[in-house]
Amino acid sequence: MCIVGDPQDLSAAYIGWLARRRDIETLELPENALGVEWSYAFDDFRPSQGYIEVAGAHHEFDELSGAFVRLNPQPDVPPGLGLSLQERGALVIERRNAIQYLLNSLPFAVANRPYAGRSNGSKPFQMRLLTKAGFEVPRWVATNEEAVVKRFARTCADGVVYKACSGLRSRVRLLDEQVLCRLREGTSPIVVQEYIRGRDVRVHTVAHRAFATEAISHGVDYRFEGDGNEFRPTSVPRSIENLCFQVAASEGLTLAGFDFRVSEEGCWYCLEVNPVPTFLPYEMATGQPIGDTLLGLLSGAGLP
Amino acid sequence: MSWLGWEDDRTLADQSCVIVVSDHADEVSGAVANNLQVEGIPVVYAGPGALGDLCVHLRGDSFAVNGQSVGGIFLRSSPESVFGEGFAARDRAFCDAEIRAVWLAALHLESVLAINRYDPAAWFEAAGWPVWRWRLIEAGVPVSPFGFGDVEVQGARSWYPYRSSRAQSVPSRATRRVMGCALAQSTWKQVSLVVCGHVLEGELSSSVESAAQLLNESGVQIAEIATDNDGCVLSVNTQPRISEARTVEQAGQLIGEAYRAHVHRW
Repeated sequence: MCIVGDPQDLSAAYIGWLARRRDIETLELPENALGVEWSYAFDDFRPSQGYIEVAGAHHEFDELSGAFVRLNPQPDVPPGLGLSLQERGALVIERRNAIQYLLNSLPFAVANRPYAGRSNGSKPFQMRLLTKAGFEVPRWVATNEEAVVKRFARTCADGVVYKACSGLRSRVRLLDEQVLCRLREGTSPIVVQEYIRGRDVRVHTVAHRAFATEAISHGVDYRFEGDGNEFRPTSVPRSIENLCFQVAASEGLTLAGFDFRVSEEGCWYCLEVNPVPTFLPYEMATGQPIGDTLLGLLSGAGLP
Repeated sequence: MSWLGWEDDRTLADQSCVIVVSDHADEVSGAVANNLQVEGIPVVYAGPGALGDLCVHLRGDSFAVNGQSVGGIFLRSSPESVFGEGFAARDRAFCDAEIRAVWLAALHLESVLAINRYDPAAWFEAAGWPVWRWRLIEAGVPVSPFGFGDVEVQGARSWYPYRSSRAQSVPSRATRRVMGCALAQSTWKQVSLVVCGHVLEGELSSSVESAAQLLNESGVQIAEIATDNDGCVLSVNTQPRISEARTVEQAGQLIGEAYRAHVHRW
């Protein structure tokens, strides 16, 4: 199997470590070393006849079983090319597109292909997709108008939270004067969403395996609460699990991370599906074999 | 019609408007706007960089801009345009992503007819030829043979950079290895311009027809489809420049009719 992109990424390093422990041959294909330490050639009509070359050794695509991908947002260029800043930028963009096309074309399992889960780049788009798929999604509005936000907030008995519209990582907060002030002054749109009293649950799916973790935190957004969080394995209703599998498959996601708020009445509200989930904190805290399951799939050994 | 900012929009009629997102220079946008105005359909022009200056409100299946309901979006700008020019440099990248996220969602509302409507994969891959080539192959539409990366150059005629629909001369092997270049073995023979299912320029070969149908299913109503000597699709450009007067007029009528039908039906 291959690890593509940024081998220093924690999840990529972890998958590599797991593979070595199990004597699974792994090719490391760093994005910034394309053309220097490794290269590839293929024809997208017959991708099975393509190959990857690492240190002079050819590996036919047919011999490979899977790829784990983590791309660095700011990849480097090989040293010694003598490029201007503009040329470096052009190289990085062109190379990223090349690697994306390669990953989209590889004739084996990839976690995840670049086209997969792109809906996460727009929360309003994705929340509509999740609703259509059958999930309950807390009521929301996307706007940059203060009056609209206030009007919507008045209809939500337990208050509202606000968050970024895009897939960029940002903290979810309860509606406050700070954001209202920003809206008055003029800013980009935000998603304002009904606050659900209850608990946070992250469900990771690897093909048709699901791993649910409850995050216990005293904050609104447990991801930003640091060491104060507690994670524990939990169960997920079969109907919700099946919806997760369906959405992950329709989004082309081999590995997916679904975020839920489970209300005090037991209703599972889906907030989003993440195509690049950091599963390590959940696995480390709960012992759930997410990495092993993924490795089984990508190495061709099968699901444990 | 006005250029962004517009007249006090909150006093406009309740009728849904059509937002035209394009640069001033795009003649098709002007033709579409004229066609709609004749029918009394409000049109709002906005340059891509000014989308961040608009007040937007998206909820359920409705989208409003500056207080007015939106029934159509004519997007003639690239999805990778800078949408938040008005924001401070330090905030621009973040605001740009936020604006892009809202407009992508708006393009997909049932209540909004969007031309072109890009799905998230196309939208975030800048709607370049790779995203369409990959889909054409999956759908079984004949495409020109391409080689990728460190391929043999024998027979390769040109290099297609991933973010451009313009062919370049084949680069050196070192460059091909470092950039994973896409090389075509054929050159284009003809280009067909397809608008709302009609071929306005070029031929309607079977591969052009199949490609146009697939693009249409993906929400793309304007596209330039280049084919090679064997009739295979060489590249797709969903932001074609259209300047020939008769073509501009025809495109304006076809697109205007699509919006009219949608706005009146909705």
